Amino acid sequence: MHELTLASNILNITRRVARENALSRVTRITVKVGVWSCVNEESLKFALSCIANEPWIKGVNLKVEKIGQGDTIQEMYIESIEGEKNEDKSIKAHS
Amino acid sequence: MKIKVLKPILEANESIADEVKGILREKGIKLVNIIGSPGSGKTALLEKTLAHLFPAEVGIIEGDISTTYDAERVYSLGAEVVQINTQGACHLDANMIKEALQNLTLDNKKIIFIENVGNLVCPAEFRLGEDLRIIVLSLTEGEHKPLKYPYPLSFSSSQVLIVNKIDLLPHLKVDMEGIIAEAKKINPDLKVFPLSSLTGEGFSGWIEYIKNLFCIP
Ligand SMILES: Nc1nc2c(ncn2[C@@H]2O[C@H](COP(=O)(O)OP(=O)(O)OP(=O)(O)O)[C@@H](O)[C@H]2O)c(=O)[nH]1
Ligand SMILES: [Mg+2]
Repeated sequence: MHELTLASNILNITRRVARENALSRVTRITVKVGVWSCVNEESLKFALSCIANEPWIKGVNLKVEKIGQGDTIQEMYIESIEGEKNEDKSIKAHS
Repeated sequence: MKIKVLKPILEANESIADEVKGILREKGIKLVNIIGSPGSGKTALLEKTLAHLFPAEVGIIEGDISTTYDAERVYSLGAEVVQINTQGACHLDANMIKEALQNLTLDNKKIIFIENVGNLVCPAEFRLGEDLRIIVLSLTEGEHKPLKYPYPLSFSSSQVLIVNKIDLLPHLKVDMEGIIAEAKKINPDLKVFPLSSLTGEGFSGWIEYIKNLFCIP
């Protein structure tokens, strides 16, 4: 459906969290999507790879996990991000 | 290192939807989001519904990819209308609604209807700050719609299902009860109103429901 919108939201949130945590590089993003969310995993990955081209996030590995229980069935959220911390480079890398 | 984030991907949309809700709550205005396939009869439903309300108290936000045809149809019935052209986007988002509200006179309104872009999949994901979400399905769209596509989010996130074009039943080989049963399987709380936006058949139940819900005399 609107994977590019989702990808750009993921990128924005990741950038903010990376800044807050002084990460110089983000290597993996784990998102959880409800089984009814109609998110196509392949096109979400493709969309993110198209827009995540700044050095601090280029080549990031997106992991999409399906959730399907109780009230979370429609939710889509970023579960975690993984990356490298490097005090010197952190601010500059993704300013 | 790994950082727990736990943030909704569409949190930007969610927070603007909350803003929209706040603006309207302050004015005592209810917001209704109408979702349905192209041609299911969203505009026709609005036209007939307007005849049962005071059009001056109704605002309408028309979401279309292009053109102002639908806006003109409801404007001619006396409702204030804002047209949003999404220029290709398959859904409305909360920010579009927030901007549209700046072009509506809110002081005299009781209810604002949003006609979302004709599409059953994408609009469901974007909360617009609505108090009521309704889905319009017409009998000419064929069988097993609720389970087939699948766009169950549209059904599970809505409170009302309008089954439109029942005037065509004699001409169709369609199992209306089966469609309703499938939709109820996804969302048992769904209020279902089979009606015709052409003849007005079945409208009394729908009008009574919305008037009661929003305390409109
Ligand atoms: N027979 C019959 N025709 C209907 C009914 N409701 C709508 N129509 C017709 O169906 C066609 C589409 O109706 P619209 O109200 O324009 O549908 P829509 O959902 O607003 O379409 P989009 O805005 O393009 O997505 C029109 O030709 C209507 O006259 C109905 O209850 N019965
Ligand atoms: Mg229309």
